[in-house]
Amino acid sequence: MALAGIFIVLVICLLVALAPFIAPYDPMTQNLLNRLQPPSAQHWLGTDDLGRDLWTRILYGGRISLSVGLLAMSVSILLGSLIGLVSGYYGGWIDSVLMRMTEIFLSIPRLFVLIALGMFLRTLDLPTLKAGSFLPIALVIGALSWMGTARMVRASTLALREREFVQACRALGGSNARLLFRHILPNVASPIIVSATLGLSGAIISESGLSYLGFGVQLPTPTWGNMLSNTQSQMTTAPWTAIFPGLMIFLVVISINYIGDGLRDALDPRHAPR
Amino acid sequence: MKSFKPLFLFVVALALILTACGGPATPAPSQPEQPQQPAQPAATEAPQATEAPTVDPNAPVRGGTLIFGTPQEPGILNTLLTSSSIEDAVTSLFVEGLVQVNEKGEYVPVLAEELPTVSEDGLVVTWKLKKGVKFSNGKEFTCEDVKFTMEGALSDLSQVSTSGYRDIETLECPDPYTVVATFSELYAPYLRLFAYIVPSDAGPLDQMETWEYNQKPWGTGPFVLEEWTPGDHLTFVRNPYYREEGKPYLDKVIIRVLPSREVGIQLLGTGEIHALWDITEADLPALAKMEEQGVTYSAAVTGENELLVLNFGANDGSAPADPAQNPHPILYDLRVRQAIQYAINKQMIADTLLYGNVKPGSTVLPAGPFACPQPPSEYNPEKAKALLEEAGWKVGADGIREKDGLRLSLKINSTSGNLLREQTEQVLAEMLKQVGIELTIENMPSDVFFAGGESDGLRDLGKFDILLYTTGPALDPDSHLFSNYTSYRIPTAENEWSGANFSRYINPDVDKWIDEAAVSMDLQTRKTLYCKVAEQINKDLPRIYLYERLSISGHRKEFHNLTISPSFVDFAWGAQNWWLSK
Repeated sequence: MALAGIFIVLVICLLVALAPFIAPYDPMTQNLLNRLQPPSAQHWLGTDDLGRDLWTRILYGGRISLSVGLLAMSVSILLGSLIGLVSGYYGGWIDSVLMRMTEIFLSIPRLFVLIALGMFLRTLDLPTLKAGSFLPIALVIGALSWMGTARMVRASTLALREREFVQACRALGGSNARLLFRHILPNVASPIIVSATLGLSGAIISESGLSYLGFGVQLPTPTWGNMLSNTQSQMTTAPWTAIFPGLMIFLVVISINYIGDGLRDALDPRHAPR
Repeated sequence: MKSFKPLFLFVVALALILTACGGPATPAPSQPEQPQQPAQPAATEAPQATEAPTVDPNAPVRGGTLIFGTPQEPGILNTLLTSSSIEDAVTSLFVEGLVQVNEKGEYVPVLAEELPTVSEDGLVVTWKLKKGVKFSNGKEFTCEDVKFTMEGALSDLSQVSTSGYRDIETLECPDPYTVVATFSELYAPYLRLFAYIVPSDAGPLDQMETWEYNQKPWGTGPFVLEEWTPGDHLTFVRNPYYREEGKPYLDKVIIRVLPSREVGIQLLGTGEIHALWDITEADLPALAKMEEQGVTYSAAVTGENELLVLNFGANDGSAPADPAQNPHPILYDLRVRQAIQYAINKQMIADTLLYGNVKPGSTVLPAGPFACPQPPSEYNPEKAKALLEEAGWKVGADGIREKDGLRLSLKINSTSGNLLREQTEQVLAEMLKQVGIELTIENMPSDVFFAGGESDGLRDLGKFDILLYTTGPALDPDSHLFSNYTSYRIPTAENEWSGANFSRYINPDVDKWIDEAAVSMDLQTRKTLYCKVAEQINKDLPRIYLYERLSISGHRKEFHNLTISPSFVDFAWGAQNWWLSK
């Protein structure tokens, strides 16, 4: 399954990366007289509400959605694992401070923070926030979704810290960094990978919500998220406008989940090979 | 355990996708509950059925139960306390006024014999009431009820805007069927004040919030509330004392509360409801698809336009009282504004995005007694290009025009989450690109978009290039034109951000005409003056009208005589004429 997942993700990444060469149309060119056409030979996946080719927009949209997803996931995993590891390994006041911080982040309503942050970023008027830029969005999503990972990693670290092989290494004079990154990190890989795979899909979908708040990727730049949102009223008349972007997210998410599953098995030293 | 994991992940992924499809916070409704009332109106037989072969198919049939769906539920049914449009809509089934607004947007007498006589100076308004009108509890309708309603509107607990009411100096009843209202100040849209009547036996005014009437109201209208099951339905039956012989035709009207508009559209198709209140232009294709299932719709022009507000002042937040002191680097030039209008194919937008159901916008006064149609704007990209050339904007390397190092790039802001607006913006961007203008889109939630100047709202501060939203005059254009187009109503820090002239549009003639019209009592004079304003606005282009907004209700074909009034308040006007064919 993991291999199939890798294959699908690779194919999608390749298609998306080569979008300018393989897309049959321009993603922005409208044709109002040809709107909401069902899939046909000219338009493989049909056309959207402004007569743009859906296949083309899915290819281009994937570039941003996957970038946002991967970047946000990396940020949240990096932050989450680091905080979790440090917190669990050192314990004491460091643990208290970091965990209280995590709880504070968890208890603030996410939407509220995003609205406030959106206003703040808008007043800054940074050039990177120009329409179509996905960098701030990915960072924001990542910065607001590391808490779950941190807690999981901390819990595993707490348990591992007392294990014999860690004690042995410490007795042999291993430095904290060596203990953390060589001995503990590989053993907490599985919760990290699981939350990473789930985080990726969450990020792809969050992105469209952030655009709604006015500081995400703005129209007409396509993303899978914004192609999906607002298709509710078209569900009965033009279901393909919702199905295809949804299907892409679905494929990527499930493939990555299988990859994660496979990776976890492969990394688990106690897991007997099948 | 292990073997369940793929299944679990599959379910999680599927759930994620489903939630994405459904949009935020609208849980997919489960199987709609069975209506507790008979679903088929045929349950009550029609007396005329025996003469069926000779009967005109268009003649109204008496009897039947009409089921009206709405995704919102009223909370209170006292006209003096209502706050949402569904409450106004439902109350119009049983509340009547001395006048009401018909489908043409004109005031017609209802409980009055005729439109009132007005004294020379416009300050004394005299009404003759219809005799023998009874409320559904049997009490006769007299001048006392009119007086009670006025007092109610002015009482502390009332939620009604007191504008106009507070100008009534005295309201006297020389006899039970004559009302004499004396105004201290001229209030041109005075008819509005008499558009509903609350019965004088509803309760004491200082306890208005606890009146039994609020949940179990009555009135002179064709129907009376029989039963209200909160969260499910309201049942209205015939008013036994209704003044028109043989009417209303229907036995019952049931207002059914639905989980969402989308569910309503489906129920309309299956015939479980006969009508669906207040749908949007974007829902029309879904209705069109159900044509064969017997679904159609009624619509009325609301007098409002979907429009573009162009900023004459600089967009740096300085909010100048006079844009000439700190003009917008691009839009202050009339030629650029003209070019934008020439570049927009309004007909194309109306025909495609709105499926040909609306008229392209051309005037600030599209409907109502003061309607002032103007010639439609011309779609001519060549003229647009010529005007931009003339204004010094030359095409740059990427096809976008430039002048003195400044790119002809504008930002359009609107409310997010509105599919139609998002489509419109993208289409506009494409149309403007054809003539070398770049339009970037930035939308925000409506409370941010409509925020006031004290909370850094972009409209009041003038921190925008172009805005897209809907506005327009109610039946009387006075207050709308005054607050949106006169120089006195430019929001600035000094006037504490009052006014809606967000364009910072200044034209002394327009100011003068609006002032003159406000104190004139002669309808024709006012009409002429307002028309001059409408004409001048189209020359100066502070705003560009894209299309005329509609008020729409979907209904089944067997439901006859649903005519929508442009005034939302009088939604169920003429409900006595509603009937259902078998």
